[in-house]
Amino acid sequence: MNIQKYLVFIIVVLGTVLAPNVQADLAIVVNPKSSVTEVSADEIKRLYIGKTKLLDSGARLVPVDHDDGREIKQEFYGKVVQKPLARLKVHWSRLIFSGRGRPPEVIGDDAKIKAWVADHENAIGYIDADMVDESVRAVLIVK
Amino acid sequence: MKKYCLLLSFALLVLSRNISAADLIWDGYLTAAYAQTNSESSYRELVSDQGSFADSRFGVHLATEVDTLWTLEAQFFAAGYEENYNLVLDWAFAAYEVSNQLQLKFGKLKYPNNLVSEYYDVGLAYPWIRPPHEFYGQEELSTMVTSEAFNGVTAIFSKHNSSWDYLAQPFFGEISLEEGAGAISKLLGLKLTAAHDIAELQLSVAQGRINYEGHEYDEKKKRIVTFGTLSEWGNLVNYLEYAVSKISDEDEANTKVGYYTLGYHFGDTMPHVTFSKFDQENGWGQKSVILGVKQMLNPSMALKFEFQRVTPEDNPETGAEMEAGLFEEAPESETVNVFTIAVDVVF
Repeated sequence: MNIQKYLVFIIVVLGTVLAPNVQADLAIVVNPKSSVTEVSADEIKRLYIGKTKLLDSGARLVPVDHDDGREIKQEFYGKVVQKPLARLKVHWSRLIFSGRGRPPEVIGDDAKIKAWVADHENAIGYIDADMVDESVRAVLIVK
Repeated sequence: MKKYCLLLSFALLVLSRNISAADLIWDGYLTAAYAQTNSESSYRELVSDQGSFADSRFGVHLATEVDTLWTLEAQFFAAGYEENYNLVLDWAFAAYEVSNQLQLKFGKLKYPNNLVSEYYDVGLAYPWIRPPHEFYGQEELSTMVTSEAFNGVTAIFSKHNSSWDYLAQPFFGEISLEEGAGAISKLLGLKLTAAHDIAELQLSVAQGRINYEGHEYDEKKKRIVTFGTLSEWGNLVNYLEYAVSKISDEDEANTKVGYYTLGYHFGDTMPHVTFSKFDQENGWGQKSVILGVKQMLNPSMALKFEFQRVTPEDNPETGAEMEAGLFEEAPESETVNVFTIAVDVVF
């Protein structure tokens, strides 16, 4: 291996290691018939940890969630809910077994969440922003 | 009898609304615990140097949304110390959401006035194998009320302002003690909570009348004031609770009780230390130090180890043969060690 090949190899390795971790934007989506056109990250956070069932506007939305183990769920709870997923079960066990709330229903992956929100007028979910089309309305983009 | 009436009402409500099994959501929790002390004297009527699994317990929670405003929920509970895993109704209620700021609950409700009293049996929900015994381990007839449910009603007012959530919860009802042994009637209380992302502060008061024929406290009024704070700031975990309780015309029964817990999350491992104490004016009391580790095996399962050094104080007026701290009889030595291992699961 000559010196040029070494340089190419080092550049590729460094590029891989140092490249920013590119993550897709998240879109918070509702049904197109919903009266909700925008929401704040704080409202989403409160919905997803069971502190409220209504938005500040008074609209009632039912949050739905991804399966455990999906990267998008990790990203959503890190960026929006700001609670480590590993400690979420502890949080919900306090609420469930004292009769104070329930976690969002787990629906599945991006496609299933999008289909669910498209079918349910009061549903709210989060999907990869690239998946948004006319069947759902994006009310918040999380970068 | 009341629990069967509640259960029947719950079933009838479910059936009358034509709710299918698919609408009924259920969850459960389980703790398998083994404890052993180095004393012959029974501690909390559960464990001695013979070792015991008696604090093992499990519960099943059922819930259904009747419509967007009404929900029905019930929880069943069984434990080694409850007549050998006899299944009992822990609590059951109907909840009505008047608005986003107000919810009403009717039925058999868990006493809400302490940080963990509403989920006292759910091991995964807190760091310890049991919440500190000095605070949570006393009988209802003493000055404290900690883990029991009451038959009654409560209103939960909540308000969100900036990044704080405020909650006011008045409640009224009666606590029936086991199998007709008595009751705490006219239970009236109020819990105030201010919660932020990283911390929760609680201030609560409650009073009730003891009805226990033949007992020295029969017809006496008891009052409890409690302050508590729970914070989870990054990886640092703090619990602090302090309560003062009184029984009318019985100054000797005045009790001060509190504990402080400090824990730290190292990934899935959380070591913690607790200092806990109760003191009654008649000389009865106990203090202890707990060193524990909670190891999350996965998000739904934890393995816990605890070492507790208990220093009981007896009542000089009743003599050394009587109870000392939470021991049935005064132990042979000044301090007693309690070793406990447990696995907590929610499903």
